[in-house]
Amino acid sequence: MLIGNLSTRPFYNERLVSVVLGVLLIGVIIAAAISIGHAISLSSQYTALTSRVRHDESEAKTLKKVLSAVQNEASAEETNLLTSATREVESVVARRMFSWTALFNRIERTLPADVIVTAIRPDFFDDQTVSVSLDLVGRSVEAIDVFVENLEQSGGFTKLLIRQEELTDAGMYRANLFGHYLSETELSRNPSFLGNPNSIEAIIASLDDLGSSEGIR
Amino acid sequence: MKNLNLLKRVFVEKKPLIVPLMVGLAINLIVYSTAIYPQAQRIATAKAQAETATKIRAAAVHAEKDARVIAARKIQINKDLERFYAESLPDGLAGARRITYLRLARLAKLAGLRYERRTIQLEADPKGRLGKLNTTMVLAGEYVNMRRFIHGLETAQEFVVIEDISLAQASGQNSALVLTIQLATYYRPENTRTESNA
Repeated sequence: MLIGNLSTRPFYNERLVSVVLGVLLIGVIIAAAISIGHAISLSSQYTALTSRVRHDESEAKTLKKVLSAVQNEASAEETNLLTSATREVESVVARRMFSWTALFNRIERTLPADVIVTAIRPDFFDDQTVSVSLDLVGRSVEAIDVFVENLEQSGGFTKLLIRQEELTDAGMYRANLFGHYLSETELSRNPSFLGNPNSIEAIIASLDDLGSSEGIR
Repeated sequence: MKNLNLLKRVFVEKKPLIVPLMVGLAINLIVYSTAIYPQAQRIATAKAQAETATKIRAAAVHAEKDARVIAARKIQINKDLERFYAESLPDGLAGARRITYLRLARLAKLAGLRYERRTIQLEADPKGRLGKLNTTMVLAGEYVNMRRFIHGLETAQEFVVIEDISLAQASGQNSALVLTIQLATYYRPENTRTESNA
């Protein structure tokens, strides 16, 4: 029995090498195909992205132009004028809506026999609170005090205070009463057609912030 | 040495397979290094740019929408103000005089009050857009009639505001009271109206 290999060309597994090389070649061909496909896909992705960037930037520029045009229109000066005109109308309408008849009715219901009211002056604050100053003449301090208590208990007045009092030559007490009147008319509500100019100011302020930022080039 | 010879032999014998394999590998390498890798880098940058651009565009859309809302709101407020000036307030000083001068005297008479004196003054320096005509009336009569007069003013169509009321006992008469009432009416001055319309 021969043990040594006496051939001039030693054996190797030719089939196995061919199969391995063949598989590798197929793998490389597939990889090349995938790479080329991927490269093409990346190229089209890049084109789409750059086109999107260009589109968004161009649209942002257009919008910025519109925005600055509106900002120019809605200048701070004009907005202030509009706001002050609105406030003025609100104040005037609140005064017109104030019901003197309701105020007189409330005073009449609470006025003791020995006190008379000689002057009434309402004041309208910005927040639509109405303060009322009443000049009174009473026979006694007690009578004036009863009137003040009655007014407060009627629920129509708060924060009542006698600010000044003096004894007259006729022996009567003249006093000035000041307090907040809870008007039956809804003065706290803006006339509906005017809306709230504060919201406009806020929006314009926010637009100014945006316009000054580098967000939109 | 023996193995090296064998490899050489395999390379020579399997050249038709090995050469395309090498070419294929080279193609893959070239495609990756010249196309895929740089393109992937560019895409990453472009994606970041696209995100920024989208955010900017969204902010601009929002701002533009707000701006349009403001413009519309301003137009509406202006319209409402103009309507209020036109429908509720007298037309200029002449209109203010018309709704106060004769009308107030008549209303006092109808309420049964005696009309003693009156002063009419233009507000010297109006703070807002509106002009103001102040009227101070001194009336004498019964308390009930004064209430009637005040109620008449409140319920009238005309835009007259009661600003202040003072009551006093008339000297020499037992029942008669003296009512000093300060009234104001507001109007849109002519020059302001012209400016606004322009």
